[in-house]
Amino acid sequence: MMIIQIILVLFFFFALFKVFLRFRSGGLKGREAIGWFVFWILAIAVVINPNYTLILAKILGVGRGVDAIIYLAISLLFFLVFKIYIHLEKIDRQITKLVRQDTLSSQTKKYEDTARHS
Amino acid sequence: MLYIILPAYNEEQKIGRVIRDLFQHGYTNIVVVNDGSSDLTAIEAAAAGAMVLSHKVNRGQGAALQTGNEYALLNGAEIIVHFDADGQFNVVDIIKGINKITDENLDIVFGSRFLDERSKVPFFKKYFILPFSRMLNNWITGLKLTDVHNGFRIMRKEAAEKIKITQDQMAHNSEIPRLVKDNNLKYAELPVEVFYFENGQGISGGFKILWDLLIAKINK
Repeated sequence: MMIIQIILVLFFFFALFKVFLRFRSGGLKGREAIGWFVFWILAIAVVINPNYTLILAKILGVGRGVDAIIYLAISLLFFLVFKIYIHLEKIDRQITKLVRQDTLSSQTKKYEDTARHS
Repeated sequence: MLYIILPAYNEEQKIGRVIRDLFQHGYTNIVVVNDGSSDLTAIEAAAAGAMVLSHKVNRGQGAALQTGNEYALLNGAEIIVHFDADGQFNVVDIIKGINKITDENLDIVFGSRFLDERSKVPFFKKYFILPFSRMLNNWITGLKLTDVHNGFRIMRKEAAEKIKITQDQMAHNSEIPRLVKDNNLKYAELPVEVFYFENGQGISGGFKILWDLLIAKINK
């Protein structure tokens, strides 16, 4: 086994452990946890035996297994960045909504206080 | 009842003069939406006599305008004016817009720099940036306007109720015409004077607007 394989396997086991911890604390729901669990197990399997990627390469019609993994990894990363961006936009809008509610309600409160004191 | 909304972010130098000018012309319901300014905008605006609404954090001009609209509607506004806080517009154009909206029974009036000769639009902006931006904006919004991203507008209560600005940053300038089109609101343009003392949005600002509109479309 090469050093890079050992490092990657250790890192992926660490990721698996994090998935387990997040699942136990309720941060990840059942289906999400299973998805991530399978993902990291497959990653470990591919690192230990890179020939597994040939199966994937054949299915996708790509020459080398490692190419198939890189294409898939880049696609997945793009997808995740996009999802995070959309999520951030949503959070942005929620913050605006909160800030607006706060502004309008504190204005009403100020008005009521003034009315009470006059 | 008429409400004038001034979204303001770090405008302590100019806001007082703009508000006083509005009061001198007989307008009374002046609402400054202080959008999380780090300077004395809120104090200057209050000292000049305006009603000041403050966003605790900066949310952008579109967000500030929507806050102003909601406040005005809650307080019985019949007509709402959007006006810049930096003294870019001429106060005398407001009454012309109000007359136009009532005489022609319109829902909304958009200001335009290109319907008379008063605005001294910088050469490069006038002949290179704006024609392209106008074409793109008209295509995005579906509304044929002679100007693009002009912050001067006057709308009736009914229009303000339908125009819910969700674009917090500068893309609201494209979102509003789009909503006018979607809601079949009656609109017209009004010649307004724009004073130039800063560059406004650059080309990168234009790209940011396009990006915001695209993301909003996906996010729907």
